[in-house]
Amino acid sequence: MKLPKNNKKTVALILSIMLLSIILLLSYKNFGGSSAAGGFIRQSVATVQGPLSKVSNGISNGLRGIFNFRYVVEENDKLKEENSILRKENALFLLNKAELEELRILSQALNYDGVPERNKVVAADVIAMDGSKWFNIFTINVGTESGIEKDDAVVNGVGLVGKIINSGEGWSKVIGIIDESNKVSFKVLRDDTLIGIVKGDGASGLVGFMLDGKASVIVGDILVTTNIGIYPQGIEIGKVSKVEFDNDTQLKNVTITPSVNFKNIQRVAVIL
Amino acid sequence: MKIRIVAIIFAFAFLIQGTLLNNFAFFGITPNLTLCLLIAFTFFYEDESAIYLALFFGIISDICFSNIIGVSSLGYLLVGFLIVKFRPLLNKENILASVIFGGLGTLVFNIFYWLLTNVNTNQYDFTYILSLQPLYVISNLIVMVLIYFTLINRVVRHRSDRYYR
Repeated sequence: MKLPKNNKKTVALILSIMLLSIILLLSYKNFGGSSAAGGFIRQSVATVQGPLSKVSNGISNGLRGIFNFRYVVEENDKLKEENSILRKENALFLLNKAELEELRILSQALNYDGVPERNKVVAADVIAMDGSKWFNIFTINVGTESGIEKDDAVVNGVGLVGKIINSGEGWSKVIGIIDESNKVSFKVLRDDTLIGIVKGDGASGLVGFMLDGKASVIVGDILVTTNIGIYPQGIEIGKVSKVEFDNDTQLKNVTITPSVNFKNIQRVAVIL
Repeated sequence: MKIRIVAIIFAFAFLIQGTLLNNFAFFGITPNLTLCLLIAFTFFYEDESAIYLALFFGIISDICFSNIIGVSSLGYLLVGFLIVKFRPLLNKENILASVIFGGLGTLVFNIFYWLLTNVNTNQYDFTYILSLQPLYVISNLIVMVLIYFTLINRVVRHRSDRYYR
């Protein structure tokens, strides 16, 4: 018996809703997880998004130079100054590096395992970003072929960006630290006994609290990662912009301005 | 308009949504091109193929950018269904109709999206999401107006219309 056209549409609609509901419920259960099919789709999309992202970044950087010329010139002068300071510091580090290399050779000769290996870093380009503010997730163009795994830390030139939540061949999904589900333990740079926890505030910023309600944290303090959790120690998170004592919880709450500009991330590095 | 051409338009919109458009964000928000195309094509044309395409690209978008798969597709399905239900009430040649559907469609989609994502994560405060709605609506309406001026001359006249030639 042939169904009338309207009934076919109704059946198709009901079947679509049922199928999507099943996928949705499975997705709630495996929050952030991925199947082989999902990995294949992401890999295919990442293959196309990579070149497109490069073109768009090229256009954006070109237009930025035209419309923000004065700002670009000022930034350039500031960077030149910073560069010369960093070159001098780098020269000192090179001397220390040579010394360190001698000590490492000596430790190997004496079979001493006390000095840990430095983390390997893989550079990556951001190829896609969700333009809405729902999930602070973006995709980078390196994945399992470079040794990237779930929970690897992601940084850029100024500070901590986030962590890897999923990776495959040629792609990885990164969740930013400004996402509310991503908590990071921090310490204050000037006094590493002052420790706390920070997370996204749901409005593209960071909020946190000090573990000690009497901690002497002040506005302007720079926060860095501790070695508690998945993030390596010493990566800059942001600067304290507000300190407030909550009488209900007896905790000192801090509002933090992230070091990283999450509206414009183009290149990141993954710490393996 | 042929479905394969509409599919290509949807695919192109999906690709530039996550790449090129982010460089021209409006206060950190980019227009939802898939939603705009869904509203425009469902409103202007009498068939529902745009809904199925939006459904497909909604799943792809969730796989790429979200932790929960299926939310976008259900949202697009809901908006598409409402457009089909209410399109006989408005004149498609009037730009105001596109603006009304664009604005309301954006609000419905975002509130529905917030409801489904907050069931599991309790991530965003509703008042914060509401405060962002004017930005979402304005950015989507700019795209809707551009689509209106592009498509209005191609609107299909119904075959049962006795003045159709």
